[in-house]
Amino acid sequence: MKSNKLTFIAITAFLGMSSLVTSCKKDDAKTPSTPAVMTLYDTLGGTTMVADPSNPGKMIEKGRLAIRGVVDSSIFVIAGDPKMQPYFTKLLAEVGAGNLTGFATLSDNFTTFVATATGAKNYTYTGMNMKDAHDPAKNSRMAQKADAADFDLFVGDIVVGAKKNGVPDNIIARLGTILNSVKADVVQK
Amino acid sequence: MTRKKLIRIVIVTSTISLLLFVALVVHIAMVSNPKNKVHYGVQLSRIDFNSPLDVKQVDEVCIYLKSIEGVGSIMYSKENNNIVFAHQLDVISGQEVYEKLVAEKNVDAKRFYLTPEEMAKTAKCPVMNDKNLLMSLAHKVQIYFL
Repeated sequence: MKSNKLTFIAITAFLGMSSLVTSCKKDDAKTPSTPAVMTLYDTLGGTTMVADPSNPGKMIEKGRLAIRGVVDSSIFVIAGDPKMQPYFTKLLAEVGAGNLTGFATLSDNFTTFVATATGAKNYTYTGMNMKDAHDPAKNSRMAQKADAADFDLFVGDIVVGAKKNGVPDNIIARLGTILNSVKADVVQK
Repeated sequence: MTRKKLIRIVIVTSTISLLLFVALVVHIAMVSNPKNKVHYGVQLSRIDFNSPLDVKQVDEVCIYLKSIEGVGSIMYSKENNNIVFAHQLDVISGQEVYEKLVAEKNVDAKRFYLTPEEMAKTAKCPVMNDKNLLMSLAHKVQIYFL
């Protein structure tokens, strides 16, 4: 009876530790493998781990780093574009100390969204689907429905950001195709 | 099944559940700590110029802004005649940068500023959904443990 108990406790402890260790282990410990189909994320560097220039001492997937560069440049373009202002007001709203700014939040979330859309496997976008997210009836943060002209302006700002970041035209075209694939869901008037 | 055995099963199950919950909270606290975000404390601000700047003026403004401690990346938009810059909130505010620029370079400009009324009626990017379960849990962990 006593040995059964010990065995049970040992198995439970082993399983618990295993789940902790596997869920928290770094992705760079994985053996790199050649993907069957090259996604845009793979083209941008994929899961190869590199030093994060904006975060000393930390590593980041090369694909995510490239996307974050484009996203950050694009956010600067959007912040300077008065026509985009109604959709991105929080971006320029100064917050108190200790709070995440609109820039930090948008950069992180939009990078994850684009990374996932381009084929990243180690990140998960947890936001609303694009149709609900752009429907004021389902998303109270959406003040008004977006029209096709606003969507095109947004994509245009992303392209400007990508160019300022030195992204080649063929990559920009592939990124544009991905962004335009959600146009039907985003444009609702 | 005796009562004693039932109590033991309940205790063991509760203990395992508690340990797993603690592990989940610790994990969320580690991955959702705002200070781990790359641009933590970085704020964007915008200055709109009331008259067009020539190339020399743009260079002067950019060089001056870059020389201010706490100011990071800068992007001038010729089309919109404004400048967007990143700055560390704990070092310098957007208003202080604006005042320094106007005083030093004597440019005709105004700082883009959101009134509380504008903030109240604003929309923000729908990519961010802080109402889902994961985000709600992360917010609670940040409030109570970070």
